[in-house]
Amino acid sequence: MAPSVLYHCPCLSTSSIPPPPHLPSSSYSFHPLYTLFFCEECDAVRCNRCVSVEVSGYYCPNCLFEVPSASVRAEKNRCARNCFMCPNCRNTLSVVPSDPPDSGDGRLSAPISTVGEPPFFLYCNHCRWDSSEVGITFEKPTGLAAQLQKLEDSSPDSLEYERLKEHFEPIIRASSLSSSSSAAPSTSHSHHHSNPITAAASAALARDIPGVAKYTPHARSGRHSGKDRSANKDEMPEYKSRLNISNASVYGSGGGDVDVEFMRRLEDVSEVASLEQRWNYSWSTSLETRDLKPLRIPLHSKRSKRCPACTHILIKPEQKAQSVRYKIKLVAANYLPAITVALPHQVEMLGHISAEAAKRSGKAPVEDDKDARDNLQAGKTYPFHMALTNPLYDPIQVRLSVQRVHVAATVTGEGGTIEKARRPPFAISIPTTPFSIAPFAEAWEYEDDEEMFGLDDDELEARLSGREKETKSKSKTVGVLEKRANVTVVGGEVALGKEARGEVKFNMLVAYTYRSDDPAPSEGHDVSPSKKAETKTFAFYTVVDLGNIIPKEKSRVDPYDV
Amino acid sequence: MEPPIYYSRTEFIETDTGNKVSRRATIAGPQNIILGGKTIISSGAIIRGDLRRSGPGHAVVISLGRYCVVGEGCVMRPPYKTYRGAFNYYPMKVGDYVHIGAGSVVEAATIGNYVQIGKNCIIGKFTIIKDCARIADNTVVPPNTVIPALSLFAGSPGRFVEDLAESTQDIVEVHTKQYYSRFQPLDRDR
Amino acid sequence: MAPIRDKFTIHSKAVVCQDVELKGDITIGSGTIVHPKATIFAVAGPIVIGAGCIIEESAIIVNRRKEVMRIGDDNLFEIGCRIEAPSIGSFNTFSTRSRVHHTVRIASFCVIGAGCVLAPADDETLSDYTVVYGPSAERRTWTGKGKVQEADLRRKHAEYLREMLPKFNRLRRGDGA
Repeated sequence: MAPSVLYHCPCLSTSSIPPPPHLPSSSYSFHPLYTLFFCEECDAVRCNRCVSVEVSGYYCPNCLFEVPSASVRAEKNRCARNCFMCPNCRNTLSVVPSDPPDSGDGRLSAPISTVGEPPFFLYCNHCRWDSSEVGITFEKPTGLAAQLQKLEDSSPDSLEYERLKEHFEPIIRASSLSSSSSAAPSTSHSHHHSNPITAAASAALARDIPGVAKYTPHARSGRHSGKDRSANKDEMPEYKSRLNISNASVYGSGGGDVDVEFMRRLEDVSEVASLEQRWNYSWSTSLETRDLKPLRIPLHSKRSKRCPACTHILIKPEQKAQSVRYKIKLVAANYLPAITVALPHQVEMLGHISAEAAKRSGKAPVEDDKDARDNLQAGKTYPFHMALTNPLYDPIQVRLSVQRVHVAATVTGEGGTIEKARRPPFAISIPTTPFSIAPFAEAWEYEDDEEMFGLDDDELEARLSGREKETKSKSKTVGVLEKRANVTVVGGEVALGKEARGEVKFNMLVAYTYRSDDPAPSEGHDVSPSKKAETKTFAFYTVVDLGNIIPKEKSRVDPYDV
Repeated sequence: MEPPIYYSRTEFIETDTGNKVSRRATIAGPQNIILGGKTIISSGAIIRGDLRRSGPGHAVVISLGRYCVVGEGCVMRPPYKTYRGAFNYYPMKVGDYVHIGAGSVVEAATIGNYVQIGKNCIIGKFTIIKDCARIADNTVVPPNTVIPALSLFAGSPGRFVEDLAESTQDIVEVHTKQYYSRFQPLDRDR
Repeated sequence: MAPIRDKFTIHSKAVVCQDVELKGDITIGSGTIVHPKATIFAVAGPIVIGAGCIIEESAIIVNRRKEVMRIGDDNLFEIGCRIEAPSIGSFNTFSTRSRVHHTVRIASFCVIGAGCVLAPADDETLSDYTVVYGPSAERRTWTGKGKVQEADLRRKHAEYLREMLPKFNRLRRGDGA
């Protein structure tokens, strides 16, 4: 695995300090930069685990029809047009006409008409399942869902469900009426949650989302107050099911003696529908493969995302289902410097392999020798490079620091020896003095588009000077190595212990200072001297993973070091 | 900081618009193929521009946008069907910033922009792949499948796995541009 | 092993592109199409291909057995498939990058799905209308509904290629021509 940098989102714990990286559980707190969001209001990083999500639109993933939220519920969250899923392999089904009458010798003589011969049926072009196997055919090739509606509506499960709905409807209506009159929904349940994040999330859930079944706070709080509950219980008339469950299996809903009998006569395992084939159904289904019906395709949704603390919108997609643009998109990559890490000896080797391949003028660089390339040897010292890219239009000052992991040794007294052994068997040195990264400018974007965007000489000169390397620092391994455009490369060094094992992973605090537009009071610490008081500092944690250590005896000859 | 990907200058032909086409690729019917610029056709790839729509005049069979990569050993072939009793091949259109992994076979009708297709995939006839979608390695996408924007597909038959991150477009653009600049002739730097 | 003697018998109505690798004793029937970059290897016994078959680019057909490998009519060998079955009926489809070992005989109207590998240790025969699909090469039996339309598509496809391929590709002729 190539070296990587992941960013910390503190949402899983109360402290802003991340867990030590050698704990497997720490992986849940770290994310790739491109998956993170940034709330300007709270000045904080947010991740997919903590944002609150709401549906902003529904569409069918096959016909891409945008379903108005008003009809989503009536259509039971599935496509109500011509989109069906194969019950056998879950591929999308196509509607096909029947074969014209066979001329006898298996060869087609009569010309096929424009739409084809009825009856039409659904056909899977992956496993060649077709709906005639389960006795479903259509008179015309359009409006299939409507044609199947009768079948769906008359199934015993569906009828039972309708009956249940009818039974509970008046009760729900009554209870929601009484709850809205007694207390506002937001206050009635928020006191159950001490954490503001979950409170905001449940507030988001409680909001009336078009097309989604209305959340009824009263029904839920009923669980907490015994008084309410008993009152409700008294009001509720007893429900009588349509069918007696003991003989429901006769109607094809599965279970009971029918299944036992079926199993007894089973000759081929493929007659039994697999769990995978059955669990997409809303209702309990028959065990038999020959009973599997085509499924209307479940709808997909486009979603907006909100900050869990201040409920400001972080992501708001465009209405059109297949648009990949956003009306609002506050992603962390536009705020935090992007960091990539590389081990120069690996990079060199990769370049070498590719050059060798090109010389032999053969195929792609063969991915052999993975061990030697990707792993670090115990007892050695390796330099590594970190490239920091500034996404802001202003220059930033960055200060890096490694989080020392002494935690393990201090946690428990009795397990001292074991804990000690688990302390990182490597030492990291990185530059600790602040360094600057030039602002992002649109011009850098066109670096490799030169021939298309004719640059005048002034611009070119400016760019050349910007790209100039700081040659004096070339010789050292720790410190600022290179500055070009809005990227600054700093070097670090990792010294591995002789008995080192496992992964080289460490937490790194990145603090950067930038010029702030709003005159909010600066956070006090770390104000850069050259700037006025209008600077702000933002700090975040990352975990840097340099790769695995291979124990000494197993290691091969390292071409870089020898 | 990514290392360059070298190629031998004798193997690749570079066009005025920066397309780089391997001499080891099989380009049938080149007059029916459009490359948008800065697109790389790797060695062993087969592109079937000869399977054109019947009828007189010039017909574009396969068009690829800018910053695309057709990996080693890929086969790009237009889809066919009979429509109203008449047989025909239909053109294939591929957008910008599309990478197709080595060994994949593509018979799609339309592939949007910023689409990533993994290694050894089979993309069935008349598949429609929307913007920013991703197909995992070894996926078999059956004919006529529609793959919505920003979704990850995997398996056989290829099925929806998850939604991709909101910033997929930005990442893919950066990555494909970087790939093009890393892809350089061997004798330039040494 | 004795060197393979090449002997190509190509029907005058067959279309075999120049950029095709042929080795051994091969007979190609009327109206059969062999796309460029396809490979047909008669390593041991000869290979006899019937009429109206389509063999697409980078498909590989190999006969490792001593006996004649007989391939019927109107079979479709899609891109990159590798087929070694000693006998093949008619109207079969070998989908993209499928593989069939020499232990399997194929009847007619069978479909080997894209990327499926069929390599049983013991000899067996796939009966008519067998469909092999999915990552673990599962099998089921097709109802055969739509086969007339499929055969129609296959025929028109071959017809189209017979007309179009020679416009862009140089052709190969048999020894006799």
